[in-house]
Amino acid sequence: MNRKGGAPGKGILFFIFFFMGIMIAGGLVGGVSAFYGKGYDFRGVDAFNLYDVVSECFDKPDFFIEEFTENTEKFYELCRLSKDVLEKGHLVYIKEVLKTNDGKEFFVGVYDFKTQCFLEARGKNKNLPVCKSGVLNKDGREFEIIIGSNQNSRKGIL
Amino acid sequence: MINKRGFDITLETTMYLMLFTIFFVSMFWYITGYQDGAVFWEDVYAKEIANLINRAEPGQEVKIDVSILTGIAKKKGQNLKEVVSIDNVNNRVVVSVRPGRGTSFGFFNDLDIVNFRTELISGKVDANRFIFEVVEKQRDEGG
Repeated sequence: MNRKGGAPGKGILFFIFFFMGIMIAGGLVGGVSAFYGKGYDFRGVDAFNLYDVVSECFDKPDFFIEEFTENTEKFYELCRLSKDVLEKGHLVYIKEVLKTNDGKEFFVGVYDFKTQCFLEARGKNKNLPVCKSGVLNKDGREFEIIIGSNQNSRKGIL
Repeated sequence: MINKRGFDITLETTMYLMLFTIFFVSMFWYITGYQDGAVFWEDVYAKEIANLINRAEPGQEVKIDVSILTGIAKKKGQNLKEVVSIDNVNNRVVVSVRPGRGTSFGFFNDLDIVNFRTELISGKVDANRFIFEVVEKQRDEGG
């Protein structure tokens, strides 16, 4: 009887056991997620709310884009927004519309949302942001504004 | 003298049993979180309360019916006072209907939420509401 063949055999069995465990766990998690859904999609509401707040703030007489490009803290203070919350799951993007297309840009948050906002997959993929865009006018100048949010709730142990 | 072969078999069996127990407890813990829609309603209320805060102005008092949450919390044995809380440091709403576990969502309106509490609506049985007041951010002047 070949006793030496027993050790590799046991190793393979452990691997199979582990693999089956992962498949069962994956099936259970997948089944529960499929039944209960992936939660309440709040990205659009969040983005629209933030758009309202920023566009209202934009109308304030002391909203100067030039200052904010140097110091975003002034933006957060003036518009009464939380830097910690915005920087992780939001985008506030404002750019002056010029014929030469080199208007100054101002943004806080995740700059890449500017591209991700317009991806077709954003409806199904909850990791992509949902955005609201528009044009604001100030002192005879036009500004393009894009507000995006992909913030989702965090679940965990308290 | 220890029977090495017997020891090996016992060790393997014990190891497999421990792994199986860990796996089973983890799956059970995950699935019971979804019972009664606990995870779903925590998610909904965390976001809706954050929505109310984002739209609020300093000086306002806001009330929201949380009877669904408190009903689930009672079944799960959660203290009603701990069902909804606000973390003003990180600007997050924390909703917990299961002891030791919860769901949080951030609000971007940089205000402080004070005097928040869950209380019974007078004249109604098992109807609760969450009440909070909104004030300007209390900055820490220390340094």
